[in-house]
Parts: sequence; structure tokens; C-alpha cells
Amino acid sequence: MKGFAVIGGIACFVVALIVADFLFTPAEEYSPVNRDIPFSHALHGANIGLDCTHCHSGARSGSSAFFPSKADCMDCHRLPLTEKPGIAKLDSALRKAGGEPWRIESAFPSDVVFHHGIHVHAGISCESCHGSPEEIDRGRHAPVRMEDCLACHRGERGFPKAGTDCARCHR
Amino acid sequence: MDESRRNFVKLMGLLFGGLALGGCRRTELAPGNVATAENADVALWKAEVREAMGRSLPAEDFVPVAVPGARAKFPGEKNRFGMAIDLDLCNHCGECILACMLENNIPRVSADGASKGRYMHWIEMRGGIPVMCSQCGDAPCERVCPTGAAVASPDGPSAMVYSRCIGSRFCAANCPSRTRKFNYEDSRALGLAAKFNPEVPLRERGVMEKCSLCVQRLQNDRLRVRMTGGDWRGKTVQSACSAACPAHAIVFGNWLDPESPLSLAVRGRGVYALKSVAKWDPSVVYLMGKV
Repeated sequence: MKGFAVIGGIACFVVALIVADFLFTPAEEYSPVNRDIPFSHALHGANIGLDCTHCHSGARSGSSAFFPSKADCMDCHRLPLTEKPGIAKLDSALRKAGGEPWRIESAFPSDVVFHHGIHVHAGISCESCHGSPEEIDRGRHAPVRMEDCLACHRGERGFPKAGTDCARCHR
Repeated sequence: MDESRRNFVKLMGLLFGGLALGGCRRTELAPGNVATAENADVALWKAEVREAMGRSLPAEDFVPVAVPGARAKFPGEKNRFGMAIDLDLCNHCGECILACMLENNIPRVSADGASKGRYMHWIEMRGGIPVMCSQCGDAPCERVCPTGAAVASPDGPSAMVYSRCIGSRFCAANCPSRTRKFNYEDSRALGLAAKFNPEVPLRERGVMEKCSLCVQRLQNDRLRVRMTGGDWRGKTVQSACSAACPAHAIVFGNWLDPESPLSLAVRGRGVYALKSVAKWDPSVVYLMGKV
């Protein structure tokens, strides 16, 4: 029994180390969601006449779509825009935020090339892949997988056919 | 007996619980040791190129071939990219090897790998002649790939999809020109890899690679031209080796475009290919003499 107690103790210690590592390692987390700023895509969309590329520059013509910097937000938010009580909370959150409140690392594997602009050029809307603003806010939109890329490129999603040879997207 | 089994199950439960938690860890346990263009020591790559060229590999045999043209399996395709290496101009300097390594983030090998001749160089000097994948139109390597990672692309290159490769090495065994390179070593962990070119992914251990005909340059140019609505013929694309060759011996271009520098370069010249792959319709040919 003593042997088991010792082994059990060692096992507990090892597990404790792993748990501690898991809990306290500062993970480099790139998340499009900033927990301090209660941003709503639905409030910033068509109802105030902005399209996605207003903040996500590059989406229309470039390879990648970028995230707005704090300065982009402040273009409009220097003045309190509404009488709503939440606006004070938002203003203070924005004041405290860093220069780049949102950062995201591409979810694409490193050998995949995806050009936002060429897809917009072919008439594909942002919503086709990213979901509606409401879905984005809820974080509920299913991620785009390679089978989705292929189905669309084969012409099964209502858009014109596109190349399906491997080297079109993989390098 | 009953007691010890119970303890055994508990212990195993704890162990697997711990391993599962470890698996949930957000950051890699062993971060890769990858230099970038800013801090990589190019002299090390240069030294390896010299070392590999010092092996003086035997020359390949060449046979005359027809000028590469359209391929039956891709009807209507307007582009077929390829290269011609002018052996009357080539001065065997090896600049193409280095340029290729820097463009395609080709890792160095350890001393052990070097002693076995496992250099990852996509271009090799065989008898002083640069030899790379011939991008066969009907490639024997593609036929034996069990996962479809080695696959023909309509515009010329015989492509490699690294994320599909499971490292069976069937393709290398079936490649008559022996120009496929297998990542025997975890070059990232050994600190032998560098990301000189952010456009090109680093390959994992256990993945096959080879000359891609600088597919990233082709893809980027295609996207650029298609954004402006043009008809893409790849007129401004040049492979890294071709751009680096001080003797201008390597010509990159589009076999199906009569205005391409490639089509102009082969006019009136003797066109040869590696004898080993000549019957598989290679896109990369060699020029010697006049006809």
C-alpha cells in the first residue's frame, strides 16, 4: 500500500504540474473578440451605411482583410454618438484599449493561399463565408472548411465555377 | 487483488487525464527554431551549396525532344509554364541553387544528413549541369501517390500539396530523374530552417518536396492579373533561379504563348531533355547548339 501511496503522490504531482502549466502559461491568444469593447457588427452595418470594407480594409481588393485600429474607431467615436446609457461604458473601454484592439491570426494553413479580393471580384459577398452580422456577433457561424471551398469552386453554391486544381490554392 | 486493480485504474485515469490536459495546451511544447530573412545567416546556406556542389555528381544523359506543347489531359488550357536551361551559356556557378533555397525556404541538413547526401536542394549540379524536377506532362510520380499530394496542375507545374503528403516516398521511388527531396529531418527543431520568403510555407518532417516552378510567383501574378480582369498568360513571371542566373542561361516562360521569352529562346535551338524523363513530356528542357 505504501508503494501505491508514493506512486499516487508522484502521479498527483505530475498532474498538478501539467494543470499549472495549462492554467498559467500566457497563451498568445489572437481572438477577433475583444472582451472589453462591446462591439456589435449589427449596429455598424447597413443601418449606418457602412460596408464591411470600411473597417476591414483590404477585403475588397487585397489578399487579406484587416482589422481596424483604435484610430479607425475614434474617427467616429470621438464624440458621443447617441444618448444611450451604454455609450459611457463604451467610451471608457475605447479609451483604455490599445492601438490595435483586435488581432487575429489567419486560420488558413500556411500552404493555402486565399485572396479576398478575387472572391469579391467574382461577386461573392462577405456573408457567403462569414455569415450575417448577427451571426458574427453571436460567434455562431460555422467555420469555412475545405469542402466548402471545393463545393463552391465546383459551382454547387450558386456562384460561377472556379478552378479546382490543387495548385490553384495550395503552394 | 481487487484493491490493486482499483488503484491501477485510478492511476491510469490520472495519467490519461493529465495527458489529455497536456494535449489541450494552447502553445506548442517545443517552439520551432526558425530564423527569418532578417536574422538568418545566408553564409551558412552558401556554404552548404558549395559543399553539395563539391560532391561532383555524375552528369545526366540528354536526348533531343520536341518543344513542349499543349497536353491532351488539359484541353483548352492556355498556359503551360516551363523552363529552358541554355547549356551553352551556363557557367556552372550554382547561383541558381542558392536563389532557389532562399526563395523556397529550403532548409539545410545536419552533418549526418549531408554525409548521406540528403541535401534538400531542389536544384542539383550533376556534372556541372543544374538539374531540377522536369515537371513532366505525364508524370510517373503523380501516378503512384497514394493521397493525391503529387498532382498535375493544368498550367504546367507538377504540384505538391504538402498538407496531403503522408511521406510514403512512392513518388521519389518512381521519379526517373531523382529530383524529389524528402524531409528526413525536423529542420525546424534542429534550427536548420529559415523563413526567408514569407510567401512559402515551411515543410514538416516526413514530407516530400521538389521544384515547384515557383508556384507562389505564378499564383500571385495570376491573382494580380485576374483582379484587373485581364487574360492571364504569366508574362511577367520569372522563377527565382532564372532571375538569379548571372549568365541568363535559365529562361522561364509559357510554352503555349508564342510571345513568351521561353518560346523565343528555343527558336532555332537544339532542345534536349533528361534522358530519364524524356518520354514523360517534360516542361523543363535544355538547350544546346543550333539546328
